[in-house]
This record gives sequence, C-alpha cells and structure tokens, in this order.
Amino acid sequence: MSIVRFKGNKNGIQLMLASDAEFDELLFDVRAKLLASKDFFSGGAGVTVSWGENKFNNKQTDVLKKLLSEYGLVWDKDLVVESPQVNVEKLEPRKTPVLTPKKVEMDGYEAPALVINKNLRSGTRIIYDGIVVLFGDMNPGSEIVAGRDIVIYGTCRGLVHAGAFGARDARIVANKLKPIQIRIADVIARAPDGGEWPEQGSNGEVAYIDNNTLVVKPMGK
Amino acid sequence: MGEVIVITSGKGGVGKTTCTASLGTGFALMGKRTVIVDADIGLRNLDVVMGLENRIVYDLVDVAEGHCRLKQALVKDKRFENLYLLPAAQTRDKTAITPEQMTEIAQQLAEDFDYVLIDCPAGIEGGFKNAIAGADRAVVVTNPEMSSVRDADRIVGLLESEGKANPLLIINRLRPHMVNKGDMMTVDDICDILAIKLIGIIPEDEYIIIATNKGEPAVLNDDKLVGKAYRNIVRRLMGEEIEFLDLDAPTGFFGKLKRAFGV
Amino acid sequence: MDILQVFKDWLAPNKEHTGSTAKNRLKSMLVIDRSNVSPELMNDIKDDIIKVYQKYFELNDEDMEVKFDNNQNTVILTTSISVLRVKRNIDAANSKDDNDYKRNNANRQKR
Repeated sequence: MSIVRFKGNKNGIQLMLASDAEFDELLFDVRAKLLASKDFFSGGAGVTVSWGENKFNNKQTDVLKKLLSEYGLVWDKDLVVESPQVNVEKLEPRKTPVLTPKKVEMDGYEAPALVINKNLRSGTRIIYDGIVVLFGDMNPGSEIVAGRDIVIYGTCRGLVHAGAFGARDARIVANKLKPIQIRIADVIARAPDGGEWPEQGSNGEVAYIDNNTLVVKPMGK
Repeated sequence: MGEVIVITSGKGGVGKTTCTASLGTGFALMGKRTVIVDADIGLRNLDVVMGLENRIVYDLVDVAEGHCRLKQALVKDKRFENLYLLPAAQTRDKTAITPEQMTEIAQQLAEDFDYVLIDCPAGIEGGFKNAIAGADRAVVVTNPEMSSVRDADRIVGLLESEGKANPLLIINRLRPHMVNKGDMMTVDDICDILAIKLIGIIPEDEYIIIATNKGEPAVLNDDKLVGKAYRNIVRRLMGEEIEFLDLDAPTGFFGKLKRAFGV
Repeated sequence: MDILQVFKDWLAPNKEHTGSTAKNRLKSMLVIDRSNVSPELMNDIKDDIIKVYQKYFELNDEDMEVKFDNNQNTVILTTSISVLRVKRNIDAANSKDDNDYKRNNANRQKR
C-alpha cells in the first residue's frame, strides 16, 4: 500500500497522505507520483490535502505548496463540495516523463534511492526521480527510468534510462549489462543486432556517457 | 491513398504476427512503401519477429497521446528502405488507445504509404475493435483445427457487423501429410464452412521458428515453400490471380514414385 | 478416389478419419454459434410458437423454454411448454383472433 494517494472525483483532486508516515518520506513519494503523471493535471487544478489527523507546520506547508504548484496544482485547504473545479474526465491523458526530460530541483531535499527486491518482468515500468537499486534481474520488455543512476544486482535485459531528466553524468551498473537499449539523458545506444552484447567478464559492467557517446565497460577498468 | 489491411484471427497462436511480418516484408520486396503496425498493446511481438526490438524509441501509444509525431515513432526496417514498423507499447494495456485514435493514425499512414498492415491482438474485446477500426480490408488467419476455425467464424461475423464485409482467408500451418491420411480438415472443408474468399495456404514448417530466431521474416527465403506461399499471398492482395501452390510436393523415393503413378 | 486410401481402408477397415469428424462437429457447432440468438429474437420466437399452440391448447406461457440442442451431427430446436388443457372447441377457437385466447386464458387462470 502506497503512503501517498491521488484521488480524482467530481469535487476535484484529493491528495491523501498516510498519517503514520514522516513528512520527508511523504514528500519524495508525492514528488515521484507527480513526476510520473506530471502532464495529467491541467493548469491550476485545486487539490485537497489530508494527512490523517496530522497538521502541517508552516515550513512543510510552503514546501508542499511549492511542489504542487510546479506541477500546475493549487492547494485548497478545504474540501470543495458545491462547485467542482476540475472534471476528471476532461483531463489530459497521462504523459510519460521519459520522453520529455526536465530537471526537477527542490531546495534542501535530495532524492533517496528506490530499492526494488524482485525480478522485473515484461510490461513493468519503474519511474523514479533518483537512484534506482534493483536486487534481481530485468527481463526484456521491462523498463527502469531513473532521474539518477541505476544499479542492478543481477542481469539487465530490459530497457534502462538513467539521468532521464537531463543528468548526463548518471551511470548504469549491472552484474551483466545486456539491455535491449541503454539510454542516459538524451543519448541512446541499442543492443547489437542479434542481441548479443560482448562478454565483459564477471565483475560487473558500467555504462556512462563519454564525449557524447555511450560507453559500456567492465567494472574497475 | 494507400490501403489499410488488418490481419486478425480471434484465437491466439495461429500465426497472425508471423503473417503480418512476412506480408509486410513481402509488399516491401515488391517495391511498395509499407508500414506494419503492432496493435497488440502490452504484448508486443512484431518487433521481435522483424528483428527491430532494439531500435524502438517511441510507440503507438506515444503517438496517440501526442508525445511524439507519427514519423518519429516509425522504426525503419534494417533490410528495406521502404518498410517501417509502428511498434506497440509494452508497458501499457489495450485501453491506452481508442478506435478513433487508431482510425486517425491509420488514415495518416495511408496518406504516406501504399500499404498499412495492422497486426490485431487475439480476442474479440477492445484490442480487436481498435485494430480493425481504421481498416479497409480484413484478412482472417486460421489453422486447420476446430477451435481455430470456430473462432475465425466468430471473427468473420464480428467483422461483418462492424461493416468490414468480405474478409479474406489465410489457412496457416496446413499439414498435407495429415490431410492425406484423413486426419486434418482439408482446405475445401474450411472454405466450405467459413464461406469467405481464400487468399493463401501456408504449410506447417519448422523454418518459421528459425526465421523468428533470426528476426528475419520467412517471406525472404524463397527456397522454402512457406516463403513462396507468402509471396503469392502478397501478389494476390495486390490484385494478381495466381494458382495455389501444390503443397503436396512429394519427398523421397516413394513419394516421387507415388506421384509418377498418379496416386 | 485415392487408391492408396482404399488400400489403407482395406488394411484397417475401422480406422476413423478424424478430419471429417472435425468438419461435421464444427458444422453443427457453428449453427448454434451463428444463430447467436438475441434475447429479443428468442422472445419473438417464443411468442410466435405460443400463438400457434394456443390455437389448440391452453398453455402456461410463463413456464416455457426454447433452446438449441446439439445432438451428434444435427442441431435440434426444442421447446418445452406446460399445457394446462386441450381446448374442446377448436373450430370456434380458430375463428377468433389471438388476443382473445390470451384474454380467455387469463380469465380461466383467474378462476
């Protein structure tokens, strides 16, 4: 169960935060959610925020307001019942952030790593604005889109996109790096035809941008 | 204005995707500007059969949602200059696109290409409705076995009720040997039941698996009977009248002897 | 005629040819599939059948079933209707219109 939920109904958008979660923790999840659906919300839509019984202090209110406004949302303190401000059916379809890179910054907060403990199968897509650490394999047809580095303790056979919002210094590390495609920021490299990447030894492999080209090398060389 | 053809079957696993890949490549081989569209959102495979899976950047859903222009999403084939693939999205589902959007995309493609081939997902739900929405003609693929013919019949009915009358029939994976023994429905049996125009018979061949392994549509190999069968279908779709292949080509000494005596 | 086939049949006379079995089964299956009778059409069929039977019988038209059955290689349309009683005056009944029978039936049932 996610600690952050966006709910849309005829009264507008509701942002529900788990009452037992820390504010900092919530903030990152809110940001990830907004990022994943950033063009879904039309400009100036009102959003009602609830955090169980908890009250926000002034600083928290400011940070959250600022964050919401970056994605075209306006924090309404009270639930609007009579006059709906936004009609969910009429909203723009969700857009994937992968394809429209944009750098997201927030004062004083740095995104922590997202840790995933499973094999990613075809059809799964992970989007996270930060470092993604995967303990498991990535199968063909799965995708990881990360704002920063991607670290895979396993074999990578899917599509990996590090530094998706413009960080050209992001790196991808995996025990075995045999993806269908590697993307770092705006640079794309594809698997050789026939699908076989050259064998790079057993120490793991790393991919990064060097001189506008994507390089894949054995670790530690 | 090009022609939009949807390849459909109802039942899964009868060879829609292999057919689409080979027919599309076949049109390109004949010098036609061709695009093949994978409408199987969430379970895409046409890219793999074409050997283009590592070249995909944008997909059908990106086009429908306006993340990219249609031209950006087209993946150019590695063998033919005049052949393109519009891939399906893998991390989305069938509801990510509407029949109206599909029709719009098919129409735009038909302005630029001579042939637009749409690979329809299995089933009769939303995915099927999307795939057939923009099509001028429909091709139904079936195998010579009961469940597949039954599903094909259902599809013919649905196509007719959606205003796509006179679909064309491809019988895939025929085993002449079994037909001769009386243990497989004959081409005539199937045509008799479905009562739509036959446009191709493709024999069962292990080579299809080898071709997919290589990412090289079987139509490219004209040493194989399957390759010839696909080429003939392409030419029939282009309006030529061509006799059906004799799939019963005898192999081995006794086969030839049998043929020589006309039995 | 395939001479080879005749020879094979002579060797194994009882061998069935499953290809034609498949064709026959499929054909009867498709009659039902294609008929794909909508509830409205089924009701129309019911009403028409009732009209015919009502000339001769008093029926309980609440308790009635019409369905397609698949029996080996043929398709059978079966109707089951519970008959309340046989009409005595069939000639007289024939001269009246259908609505009269329904009304008569209704009245009798009330009694």
